[in-house]
Amino acid sequence: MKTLDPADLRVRAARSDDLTTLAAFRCSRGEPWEDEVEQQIRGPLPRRYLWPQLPALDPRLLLTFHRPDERLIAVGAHHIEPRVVQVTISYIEVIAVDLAARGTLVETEDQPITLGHFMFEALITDMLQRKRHPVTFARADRRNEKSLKLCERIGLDDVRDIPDRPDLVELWGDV
Amino acid sequence: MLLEVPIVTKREIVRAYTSQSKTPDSAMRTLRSKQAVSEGIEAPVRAAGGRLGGSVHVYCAINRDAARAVRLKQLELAHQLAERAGRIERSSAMRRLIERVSGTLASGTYEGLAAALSRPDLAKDLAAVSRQIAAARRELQSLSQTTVMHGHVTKLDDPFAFVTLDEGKVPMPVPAQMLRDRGVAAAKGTAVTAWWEYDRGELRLTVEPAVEIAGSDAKDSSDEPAVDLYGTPWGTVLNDDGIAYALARLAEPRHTIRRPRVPITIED
Repeated sequence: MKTLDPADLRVRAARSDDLTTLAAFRCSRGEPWEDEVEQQIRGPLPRRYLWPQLPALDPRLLLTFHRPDERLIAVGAHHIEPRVVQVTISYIEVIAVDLAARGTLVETEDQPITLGHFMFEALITDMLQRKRHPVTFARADRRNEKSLKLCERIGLDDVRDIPDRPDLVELWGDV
Repeated sequence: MLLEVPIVTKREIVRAYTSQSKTPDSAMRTLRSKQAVSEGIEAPVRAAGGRLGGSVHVYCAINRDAARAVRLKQLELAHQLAERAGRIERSSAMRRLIERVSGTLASGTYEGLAAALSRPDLAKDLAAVSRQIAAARRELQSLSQTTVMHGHVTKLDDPFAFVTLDEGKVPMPVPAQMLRDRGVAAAKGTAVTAWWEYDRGELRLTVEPAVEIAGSDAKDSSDEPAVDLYGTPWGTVLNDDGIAYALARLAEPRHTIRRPRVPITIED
């Protein structure tokens, strides 16, 4: 399993000239929830985040590149949940890791972390820089054990059922 | 989806500054002397047939935050807000918006302006301006003591109008005359924005017209419906239970997420 130095990673907001790269992004090994994420990242998701019609959501699509070969290795997206108007809590819509980079770790001061975890930390950094409220949440397919474990590990550890969506769970946490 | 009207006149700015009986011009002079209001934009008004019909002077809505900051004696914040307002007024999106609705501003009501801004052909510029306003507020934290909610007038029973906010279940009574004073006809179905502000021990409520754009019908850039990963119309992630949970969670933070252990620079 490969371990990367964080200095080898570059995180930046997506631009319109990333569409071609995103259209070729692969993160699915065939699980239905992975297929859905891959299909979204290849088109609808960047279209929503790059040309938003709902600006109050402050949509942010972030990309992580491997500096030495400028390869896109992870994608993350978050936006403000607009129905909680008192504060700007964030909804993490997606975190995805390039299929070829699965299993890659990133060095930290203590334990190495996965690329998915690194992308999550990038999203948290972005939210805090944008002065969002520390409370955040994500949704995940109930069968997606890998994502549920990642969420638990990173502190999105309060799991809620969604009455009208039995296929999904909400995962909440705060910094 | 409901949005605040991003354009105001001196009347709205002065209301945010003082409830005393100062004349609008005198109040505006005071705000100018404190560098707490931007220059605004003089927009020529085109009458029917395209002929010029005078002009109208309007401002970016952030000036209202600046006026409120002066009232709260936060003069540095007020100055920063006025500067941001000036920047937004100079943006091409704001200038196009004002040009397209200047006829409504001169001859109509504030409610008419909100309706005019709901036109689909203005959505792109409205989005750009709303985004700039939201960014300024976020960076300067100008609404830290203010709660903003959106909703609709659901019932009129003079002297009260009943306003249902953010899909809440219980309509809130508001003096109907207050709505009329703010340019809201108080007719059933009218979109409104409500501002609650905590000011030196008192809660101030203001209800104004809002711009209504099709939230659940929002489209992405290919004109497809903007739905998220799970088919949820974009911007409507939480149901009522989720909102109740979020509010409870806000009241009792648990700090379950560690601050990022790797310093990450986000390039824009």
